[in-house]
Amino acid sequence: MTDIVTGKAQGDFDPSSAGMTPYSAAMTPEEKQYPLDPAVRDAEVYRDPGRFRSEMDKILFEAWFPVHPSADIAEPKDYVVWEQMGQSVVITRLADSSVTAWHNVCQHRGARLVDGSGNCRIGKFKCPWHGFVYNLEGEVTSVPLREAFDERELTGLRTPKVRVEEWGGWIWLSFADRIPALRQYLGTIGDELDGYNLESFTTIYRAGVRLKANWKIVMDAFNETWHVPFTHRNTLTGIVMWRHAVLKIAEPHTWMTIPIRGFTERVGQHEDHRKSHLCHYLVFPNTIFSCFPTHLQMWSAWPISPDETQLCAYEVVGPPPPGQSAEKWAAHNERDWQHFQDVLTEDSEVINDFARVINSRGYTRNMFSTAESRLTSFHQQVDKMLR
Amino acid sequence: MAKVHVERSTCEGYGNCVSACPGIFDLDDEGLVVLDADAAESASLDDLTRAAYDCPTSSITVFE
Repeated sequence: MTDIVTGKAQGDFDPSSAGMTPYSAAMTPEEKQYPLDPAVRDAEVYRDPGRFRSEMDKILFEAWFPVHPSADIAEPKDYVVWEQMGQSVVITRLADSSVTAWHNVCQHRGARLVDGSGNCRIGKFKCPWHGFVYNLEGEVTSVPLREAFDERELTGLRTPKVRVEEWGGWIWLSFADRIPALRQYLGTIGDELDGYNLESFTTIYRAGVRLKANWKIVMDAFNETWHVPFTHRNTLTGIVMWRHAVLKIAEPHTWMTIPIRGFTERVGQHEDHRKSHLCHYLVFPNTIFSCFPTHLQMWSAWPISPDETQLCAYEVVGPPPPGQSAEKWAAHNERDWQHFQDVLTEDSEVINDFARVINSRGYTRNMFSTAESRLTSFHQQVDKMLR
Repeated sequence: MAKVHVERSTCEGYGNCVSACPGIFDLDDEGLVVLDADAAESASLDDLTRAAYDCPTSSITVFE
């Protein structure tokens, strides 16, 4: 039985009625404890072409990022070409099951060597232009009309290697020689993701969308929950307790735990938050793992130009939870992916509208509230790396 | 038995309460929240508290 009082009839009901406990929507304990002070960012950080080039050189090309599920090249001689940020990289599985990666560029005159993906049965890639031949490791094994070249240029010739590691069911690349190995780079986030046993997960859906906004606008859009009641009123408010997000800084990365409506209350405040909460991790600079206890969505934002970004998203699922049939689990995952795409569409509409205002003379700065501490931390890290 | 207090003076008409409890909360011609008392008779406490939780201006309070 519910007794309803509207604002028009407030005289009928004293909200301070003795003996009643109010469910108050005032600030939650989490909201009062956001980790960083309010901050301001100049809008130029999103539109300066010179800054964009510096970000590519000093941030994107100085990072690790996941590029393909390991299962995409499961067997020896399997290969896949990855292309983002103006780079083209061939990733291959060798006979000993290790993975190698190298720039997809012929060392003769710069032609693109390999296309698509598949199994390279003969273990050799031939340049479509003049027939230079490369093995699975990117080494030149044959040069047509070899005697017509300067032999000193051909000795040990190969396409430049790209750093590659395989971890958590993903193949990770880095274009940087000096940054730490992947697991050290990930730090706390690696410890967190380790708890999901991601090697047992499977990527079942993937999608890409080209967004008309700077890559940092895209990253900003996914690292706070305060847009949920506005942008995702009909999709996410029913799922996440967006006002109870606990924000954490793990430089250069950040993360947050968010109670899942209904589920977290039901299973209780588990000592392992990964079993009771949605855990949302930013792997700096451009990748997010949004992990439910049994499945996750992962997405990366790949800069194209100062005002364009390619977003690649994946649905990655664990084995069926105890007591759930494979059919029901598959149906759940299909619904979940559809729901995620609906959410992504809502975000994309807001992000794409930036194209209409990014150069507005009325847009001079961003204000970040304490609730947007992860954005403040992200931009502090970007500034630090540009120095 | 729960009581619900709606503060129309702070309501900005975001409509999250309508999404949480359609048929119980609604927006009037002014775009401000109104309650359907009859429909609310069957509302669950969970639904009502969710409407309060998702209100960006904290204009709904549920007393239990």
